[in-house]
Amino acid sequence: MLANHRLVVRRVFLFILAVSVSWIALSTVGAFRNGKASPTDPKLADGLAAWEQVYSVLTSPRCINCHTATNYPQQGDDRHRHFANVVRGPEGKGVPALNCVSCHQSENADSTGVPGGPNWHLAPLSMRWQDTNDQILSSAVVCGAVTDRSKNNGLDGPGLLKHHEAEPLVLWAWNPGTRPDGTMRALPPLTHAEFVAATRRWVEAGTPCPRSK
Amino acid sequence: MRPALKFVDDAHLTRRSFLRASAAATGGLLVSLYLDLPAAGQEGNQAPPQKVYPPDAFVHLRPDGKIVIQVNRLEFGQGVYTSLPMILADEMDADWSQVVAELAPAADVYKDPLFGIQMVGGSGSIAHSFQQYRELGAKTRAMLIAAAADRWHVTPDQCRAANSVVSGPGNQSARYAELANDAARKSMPENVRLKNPSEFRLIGKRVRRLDSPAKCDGSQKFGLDLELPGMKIAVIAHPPVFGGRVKSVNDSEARKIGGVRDVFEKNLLARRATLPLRVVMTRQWPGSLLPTGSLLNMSFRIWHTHQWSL
Amino acid sequence: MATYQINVNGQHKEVNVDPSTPLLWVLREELKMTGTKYGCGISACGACTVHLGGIATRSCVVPISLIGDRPIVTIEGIGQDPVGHAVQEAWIERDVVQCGYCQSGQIMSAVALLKATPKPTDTNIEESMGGNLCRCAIYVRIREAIKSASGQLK
Repeated sequence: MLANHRLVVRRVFLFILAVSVSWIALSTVGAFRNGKASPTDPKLADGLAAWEQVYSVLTSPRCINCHTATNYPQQGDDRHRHFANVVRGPEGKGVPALNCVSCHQSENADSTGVPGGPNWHLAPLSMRWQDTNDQILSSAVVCGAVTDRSKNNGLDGPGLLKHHEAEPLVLWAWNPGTRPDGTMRALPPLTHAEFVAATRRWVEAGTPCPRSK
Repeated sequence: MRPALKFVDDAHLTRRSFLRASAAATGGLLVSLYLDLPAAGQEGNQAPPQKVYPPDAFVHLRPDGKIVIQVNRLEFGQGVYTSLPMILADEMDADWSQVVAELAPAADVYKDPLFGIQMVGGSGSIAHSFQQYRELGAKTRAMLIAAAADRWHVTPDQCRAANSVVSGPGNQSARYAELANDAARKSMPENVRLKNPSEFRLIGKRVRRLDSPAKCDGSQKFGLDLELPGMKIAVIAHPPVFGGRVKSVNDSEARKIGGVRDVFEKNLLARRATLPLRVVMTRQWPGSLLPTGSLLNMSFRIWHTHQWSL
Repeated sequence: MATYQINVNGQHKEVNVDPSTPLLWVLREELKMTGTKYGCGISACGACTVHLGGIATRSCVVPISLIGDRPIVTIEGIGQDPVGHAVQEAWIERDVVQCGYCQSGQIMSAVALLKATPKPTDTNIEESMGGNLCRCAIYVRIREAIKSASGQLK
């Protein structure tokens, strides 16, 4: 009986070991996906730092003014509600007689101070980065939204990188044109190259997200 | 007797003219009557001069039947372009569908009867011109009936008028357009009977505005649409605060823009604090942007005065 | 200065202007078509509304250099369009205009709305027409006239 007991104990021990290892392994993988890993992992820490750089650009006025949770876009560095009573409309393109493209053409119109880019429109509500009181959402929440493929148009990590590299309306943020008074609109806090580099580091780290506060 | 009213630009009226037909140039009735006023125009009179308005300055019957009525006010949406012609057309028993309104040119005859200047404002259009336009309509009607009565050898009170047609006692009938030239030779009655309000066909009834079509197809001209040969346009750059004065201006960028002729400072009123900057151009664009200051590097200094507390 | 070929109300026009000139001023000062109005110059009031490539567009902020070959329709030409004609008739029938300065833009916006939404609700009308300002405040009649033009009213 003693020999059987030892065998049982060994098997239970191995079982527990296997479960633990699996659980740790899966948790770690899961951590890459939903940000619950400990930031003490250096690659993870770097990825999270890169995310904070990406977040700083996403929440700058040139980007976040069209990622609203409301029925309207914002404008200006103070992100006030866009004038002329423009509204989101069913597809984020405005409404008949007051479409985004009623004023915003495919390029900046510096002589009249109206910014422009191809297919000017609002980001869909699934890509909102503010709440309904126009307050910017936290880094954890925005990261969760950006990495949720059911909300972000199906983009995975490489897809997000490409989006940041080449999407025309994203590129517009670094060529935002002049205001009606002739002054240049403020640029995001990083250059486009820095933004892409940060995105790449973040993607290579597995697009980690910070823990929700 | 000397005529007491003076007309500035009216080529049809002379100082001693009486009833006169002006059919040559435009055709139809242009009733030109000039009535002598007792003691009017003399300084120091106690009683205000009684004003008489010659219908010819206000009503023109065209041979095609159209009735062109001059409106002695500016129409800016309040509706006088429609309501004053309504008043005249009602007393005149005119066919409303043939009425055309025109904004009157600058002339003394179009002055506000109470205020004595040609203007619009103070809610005075109907208040001051209601009686005036009623009398004009009634007088024109009386002259048309007189012409018809002559033609038919009957008396005026045997005739009736409705919808731009005069009817006689024996089934005679004549349109206003046919009678216009003869009516022009009749004397303008001094007194006319005005309608009892129960007889109004237009006043107090719903009619469509006469200015709608032109305002709905872009043909209505507004002040900004005016263009005269050699015309220049000025835009004004105001200080951003009350009491500010221009401290310095760098207009080199503004002057480089095609069409900009000059940039200068000009006092609007002596001893006032605000000194606007004027930019004179030959076309509207891009001048409409210049006062925003982007192309005129202006700085203002605030001048505290004793008159304002800032 | 540059030369541009544009199509206005079905007619070909050639203009020689600075590329930065907004379409509004090309229409008004080069082509002498003053039906389209200048109200603010900053796309805030809607008085300058034309149709560009079939889309209601604020001509005061679109430089001629960005027009391309998109056809332009102005208030002078909208009556040729059946919806435009119906809107103008409704405007006249209901005595919508007062001073009339905003009405070119109002009509152009109303036509764009009715072409996209033939039976607009009050919310549709408020959202689509809410960017066309009227200092005479004739908004209620504008809404009635739009509904009338759309056949929703007798």
